[in-house]
Amino acid sequence: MSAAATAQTAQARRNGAFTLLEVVLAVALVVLLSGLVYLIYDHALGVRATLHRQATTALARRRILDMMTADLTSALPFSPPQMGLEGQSDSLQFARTMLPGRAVFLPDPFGGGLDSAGGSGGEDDRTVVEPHADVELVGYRLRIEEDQEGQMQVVGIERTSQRTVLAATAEEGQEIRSVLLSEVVKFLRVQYWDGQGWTDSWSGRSLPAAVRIDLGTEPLGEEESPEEYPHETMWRIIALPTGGTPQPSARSAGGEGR
Amino acid sequence: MVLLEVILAVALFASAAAVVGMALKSALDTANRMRLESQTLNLAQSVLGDIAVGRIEMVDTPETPYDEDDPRWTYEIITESLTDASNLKRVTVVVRCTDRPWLKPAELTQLMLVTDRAGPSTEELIP
Repeated sequence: MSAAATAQTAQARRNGAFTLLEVVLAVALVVLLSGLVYLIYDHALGVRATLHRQATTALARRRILDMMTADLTSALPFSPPQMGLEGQSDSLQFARTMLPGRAVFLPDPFGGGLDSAGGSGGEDDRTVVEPHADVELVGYRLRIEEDQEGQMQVVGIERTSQRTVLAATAEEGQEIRSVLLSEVVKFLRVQYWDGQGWTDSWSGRSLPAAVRIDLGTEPLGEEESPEEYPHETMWRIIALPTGGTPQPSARSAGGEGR
Repeated sequence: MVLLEVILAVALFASAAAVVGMALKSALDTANRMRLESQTLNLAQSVLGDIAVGRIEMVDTPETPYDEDDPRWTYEIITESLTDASNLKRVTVVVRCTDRPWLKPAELTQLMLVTDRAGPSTEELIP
């Protein structure tokens, strides 16, 4: 450093100011630290999004499996209409027992008597409660809709319910209510245990002994079969208390695989 | 500002960044653990279902791989007879992931009927 520069620095220190080098260093440090903070913030946002997606997915699949377990464990063969379980590899429908709605247990569920006009009587003008049965038809399937480009896309998994089992007509939106359970689940595979092995479909007045449910988050490719689904699934085997056929031989401990 | 102060500031910043990084890693580990715990619980429930339909014998079983193709997931069955009901057993299923010893095993217990066949007979219920 020349004598003139040294004198300038000494003069600057005496004046309480920064030198050019110090200012440049400070700016460089600020830029560097800002960049690091941005990187950390961006990474944190990515982690947060990943965590949220994983938690949502896990929770949705677990709740759906719990709901299907509750429905299937209360399934029963129902006649008429000669209903056991109708199932394919990507859908199933069955009758299940249930408690009627809470309103049915009211002292006066019809809001003042059926003989009065509109089911309501005089001063006690309460909402008329529809009669509820203790059996309903329940179904699970993938909801598939056409997107803006005309392609059929899996929207999610939905549950259908029909509370009036012996209705003369059963139309979607009228007697049959469908509820989209989750848009996260885009793959559903159902297998039925017939006492010998797993089958991909079930029909008839009896119920399978068990049902295996696989839920995935990616839709099945057009060329793929359910057995070739390449992604991870969350699955559960659900035993049906009212189903089952005689078991020829149980799998011994550590014996044959599935 | 002396060099010592700059070094101190940078060290503080690095420490804070490390803490944030560790927190993020911990969150990811927790999410992964939650996913695996769900898997173990599903498997335990599936083993109980297998026992109910007779696919797996209702006997005391040491740690056994559930799937021969994937020996990491094992189940153990502990049965206990009830003194006041000869045809009823308390069945406990413990599922572990052998390559993740830090993962808490899933343990489910259920009272089950001892039958020679899979479940009750299928009889239609006519309303």
